[in-house]
Amino acid sequence: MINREVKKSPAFMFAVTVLVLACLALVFMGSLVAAPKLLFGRSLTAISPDSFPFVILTLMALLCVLQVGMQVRGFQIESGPALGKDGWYRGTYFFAILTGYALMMVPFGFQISSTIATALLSVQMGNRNWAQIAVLSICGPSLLYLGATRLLAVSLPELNVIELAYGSLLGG
Amino acid sequence: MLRKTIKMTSSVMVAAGMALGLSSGIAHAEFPEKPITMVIPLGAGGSHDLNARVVTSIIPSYINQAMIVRLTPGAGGQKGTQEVANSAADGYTLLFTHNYIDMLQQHVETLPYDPGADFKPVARINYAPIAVVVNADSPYQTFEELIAASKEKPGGIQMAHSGNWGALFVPAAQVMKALDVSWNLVPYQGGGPAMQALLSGDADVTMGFPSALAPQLAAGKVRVLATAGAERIYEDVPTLAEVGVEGDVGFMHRVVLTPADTPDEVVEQLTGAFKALAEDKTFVRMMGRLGENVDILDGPTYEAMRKEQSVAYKDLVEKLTSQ
Amino acid sequence: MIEQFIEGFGLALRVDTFVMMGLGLFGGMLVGALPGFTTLMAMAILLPISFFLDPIVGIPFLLGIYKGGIFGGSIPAILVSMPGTGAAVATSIDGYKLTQKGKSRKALDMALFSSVLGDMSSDIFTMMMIFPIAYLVMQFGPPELFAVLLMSLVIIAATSGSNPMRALIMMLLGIWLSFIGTDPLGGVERFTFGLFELKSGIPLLPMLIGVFAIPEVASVVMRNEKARHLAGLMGERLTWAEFKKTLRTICRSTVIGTGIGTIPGLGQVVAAMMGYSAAKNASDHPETFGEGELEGVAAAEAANNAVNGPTMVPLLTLGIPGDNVTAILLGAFVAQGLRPGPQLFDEQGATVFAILIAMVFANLMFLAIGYLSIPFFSRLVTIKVSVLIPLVIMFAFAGAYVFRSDSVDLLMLVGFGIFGIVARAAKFDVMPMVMGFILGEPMEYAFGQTVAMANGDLAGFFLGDRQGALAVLLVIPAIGFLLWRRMRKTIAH
Repeated sequence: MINREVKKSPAFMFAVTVLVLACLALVFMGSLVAAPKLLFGRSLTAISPDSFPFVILTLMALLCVLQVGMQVRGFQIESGPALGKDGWYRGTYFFAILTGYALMMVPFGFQISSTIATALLSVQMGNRNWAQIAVLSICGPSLLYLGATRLLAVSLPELNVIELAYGSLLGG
Repeated sequence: MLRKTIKMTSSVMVAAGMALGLSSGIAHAEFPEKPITMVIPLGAGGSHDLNARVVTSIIPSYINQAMIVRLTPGAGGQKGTQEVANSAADGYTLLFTHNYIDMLQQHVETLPYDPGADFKPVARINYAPIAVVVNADSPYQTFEELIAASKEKPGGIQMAHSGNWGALFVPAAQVMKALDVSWNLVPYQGGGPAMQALLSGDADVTMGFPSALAPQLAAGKVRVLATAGAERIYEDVPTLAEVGVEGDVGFMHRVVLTPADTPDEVVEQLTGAFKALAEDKTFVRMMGRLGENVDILDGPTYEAMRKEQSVAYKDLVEKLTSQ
Repeated sequence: MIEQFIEGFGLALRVDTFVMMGLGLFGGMLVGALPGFTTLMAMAILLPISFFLDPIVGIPFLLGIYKGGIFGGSIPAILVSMPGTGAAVATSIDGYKLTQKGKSRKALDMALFSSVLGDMSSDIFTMMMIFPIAYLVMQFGPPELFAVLLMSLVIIAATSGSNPMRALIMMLLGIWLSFIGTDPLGGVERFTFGLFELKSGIPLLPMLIGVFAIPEVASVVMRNEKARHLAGLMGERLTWAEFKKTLRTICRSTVIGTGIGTIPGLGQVVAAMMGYSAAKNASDHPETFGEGELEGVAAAEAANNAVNGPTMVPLLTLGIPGDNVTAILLGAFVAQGLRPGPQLFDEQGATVFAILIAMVFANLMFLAIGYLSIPFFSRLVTIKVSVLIPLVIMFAFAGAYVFRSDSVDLLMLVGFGIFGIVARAAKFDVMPMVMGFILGEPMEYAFGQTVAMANGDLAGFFLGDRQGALAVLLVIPAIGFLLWRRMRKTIAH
C-alpha cells in the first residue's frame, strides 16, 4: 500500500529516522539523563532535568508520526533535487578529504594538514595549474596561521618544527 | 587523474611523516612566547570578571605578554574548569576560579576531573567576604528582622543566588542550616543578574561581594544586613558570627590555578609575576576602586589551605544534604 | 542632564577619538569577517590598550571594534553562506541567494546601510530615553524572558513558509541538541552517553558552519560547478530606488530590535529573526523571502544592530553587564575610573554622553569605511572555484578549531556538514533547527527560574505577579495560527 517511491525518498527516511530516535530517547530517558541532587530533602532544581526533554521529544515523535502519515498518503512528499552517481562519488570523496583533514589537524599540525586538504580539494575541483596549487596549498595555510597567531593571538595546532621555523624566519 | 591524486597524496604523506619524525624534540624557549589565556568559569560582569580585568591589564608588564580573559560559564563552573583540565600543561592556559568551585564541588558531584590532583595553585589573588543585602526599600532593617520574617513564612523569602553550590549559594545554605530558616533559592546566571533581580524586586534578599556592592551602596539602593569575617566591615552591620552563623562562612578566595603537570619553572615565573602585582601602585589603586583587597599568596601556601578546605567542605556538604 | 549632553558633545569632537574609532571599525570588520575568530576575542585582547588612552578615546575604540565586527560577520554569511554568529544566520538566508544571483555587492551594500541606520537610530533613541529604558529593563525578569523566547520560536516556525510542520520538527530537534551536555539549572549530565567530549554540550560555531556553509560548498563540489557562470559578476551597487523601497522594513526592524534590546537576555539572534519574520509577514510577496530578497537582508541587519543601543543601558545605569561584550566594556570603564552604576550620570555624565555621541558618529564613519571596503569583499567570490573552495574550507576548519581549541569540534563540523546535506536532500530546512538550538537553553533556564520563583504555585504566580508574561503566553497560539494562515494564503496566490 505504501508507495515504493515515497518509501525511498530522502524526506521519508529522514522523518522516520527522527521518529525512531525520538522514541528511543523517550524510552531510555532514565539512563540518558542523570538524576538531580537534593538539598535539605528537596530537589536542588525547580524543574527536573528530564522535564523539558520529555516534552520536546514527545512533541517531536508526534509530529514525525503526522509527517510520516501525511507522506504515506501522498502529501508533503517533496524532496531536494536528485544527484547522479557521479555526484555521489564526488560527494564521498569530498567528505573523505574533510574527515581526514579533521583527524589530521592536531597530530600533523595546521600547515601540513591544510596543505594536503587544500591541494586535494583544488585538484578535485578541476585545477590543473600546479604552480597555483602549490602556492595556494603551501602559502595559504602559512599566512592564515601567522595572521591568526601573531595578529589575533589565537592558537592553532602546529608542529614544533614548523613553529621554530616560523620563529627563526621572523627573527622572533 | 585518480592516479595522479594518489601519487601526490602519498608524496605529501611521506613528507609529513618525515616532519613528524623530526619534530619529536621538545623546544625550550623563553616562557611566555605568546599570550596567556585566563579562563574564568563564571558569567559576565561578576566580581571575578572585574577582578580579572584589572589583573590582566597590569600583569603584561611583568610577563611581557598579554593575558586574555576567556569567560566560559556553564554547568556551575565545570565547563571552564574542564577546559583548563583538558588543555596542555604548558602554562598558557590558567584558571581563575574560587574555592567553592575548586574544593567544594567535588563533594556534590562526580566531576570529570579531580581538582586536588589535576590542578595546582599559582597564586591566590585576594579574598572577599560575602555580605547579605536587601533592597533599600525592603521592610527588613536588620538581620534579625529578616530571619523573623523568614520563620513566619517558610519558603516565602526569595533569595537570588548565582548558581548551585556557588559563592552565594553556599553561605545561604549555611545560614539556612544554622538558623533553621527556609528561603526559596532562585538561580541566576551569576552575581550580576542576581543583583539585578534584587534591584528589580524579583528577589527579597541576595548576597554580594564588595566590588559588586560598592556602586549600589553609594547610591543608596541596597542595605547590608550582615557580613562575613571575624571583624565588622561596616560599622553598624553585624558579622554573621554575631547573628548566630558560626564557622568558616562566606569567604571567597580568588585563586589562579594551572594544570598539575605544568613545569615548576613556569609556575614560579607566573607566581613571581602575580606577587609583583601586590607592589604595583596602579594595581592596588584599581583594586581599591573596585572595593577589593590585595592579598597575594603563593602556590604552596595556598595549596595547604586547599587541603584544609577540602576536608571542611566535605563535612559541610554532608551536613547540608543529610536530610 | 541637557548641560551634560552639550558638554559631552564638545568632548567627543576630538581627532584622536575619530581616528581610533576608525581603526577599531576597520579592524573589527576584518576580524568579524573570519568566523570563529570572534570580535569578542579581539576586544578582549585590545582592552589593555584602551587603558592607556583617554576614556573618550579608548572606549569608543572598543565600541568601534564591536560594531565593525557585527557587520564583518555578515560578510561571509552573505558571500559564502558561512554565518559566524546566530544573528548572521538571518542575513545569510537571503544574502547568499543574492550572491548566487550575482548580486553580492547589492547584498553587502544593503547590509551595511540597514545596519548603520538601525544602529544609529537605536543609539539616538537610547541617548534620549536612557532612564525610561532603564525602568523598562527592570520590569523584565525570567517569566517575561521565557514567554518572549517561546513566542519567538513559534513565530519563526509559523513564518518559515512552505512547510511549518517540518520546520517545527527541525526546531524541536535543535532544542533537543541543546540539551546534550549538562542541564543549565542543576549541572547534571544529559544525553552525553558517558562521553567526556559531550559534557560541555555541542558548540555553536562548528554547527553553524557545518550546517550552513559545508552543504553549500559540497553542493558545488558534487555538481562540479566548475564554470561558476557568475564569476566576474559581483554585480552593481545598490541603487537608491532599491534602498528606498526597503526603508519601511528598516524602520520596522529598528523598532523591533530596539524593543528586543530592552529585554535582558534576548539578544541579536532573536532580534534578527523577529525582524526577518515580521518583514516576511508584512510583505505581499513572502515567497521571494529566502530566494534572494533584499528586503530580507535589510530586515535582519537593521534589527540585529538596533539591539545595541538599549543593551548598554543596564551597564550604564546599574553597572551590570548583560553579555560578554558589555562585560568587557565594564572592565574598560572601571579601569578608567568610571564606575558604571546608579551614580554614573551624576558624577560623570558628560563623559558618558561623549561616549554615546561618539557611538553615533562611529556609525557615520562606518558608512564610509564599509562602503569603500565592500567592492574588495564582493570581488573575493569571483575567484575561480577551484581556488575559492579550498580556501573556504581552510578558513572554516581554522575557525571551528579556534572557537574552543578542541579538535573534537572539527569532527563535529564535518558531522554537521553531512547532516546538512542529508537535511537538504530531504528538504527539511536547517534554519529552524539552529534557532531551536540557540534559544533552547535560555528558554529552559528562564522556565526553571520562573518555576523556582513561583515556589510551587505557577498559576497563582503568573496571575498575581506576572500578568504581562501570562498575556504573552496566552497570545502565542493565536499569533502562531494567524501567522501560519497568512503565510499560506499569500503564498498560495
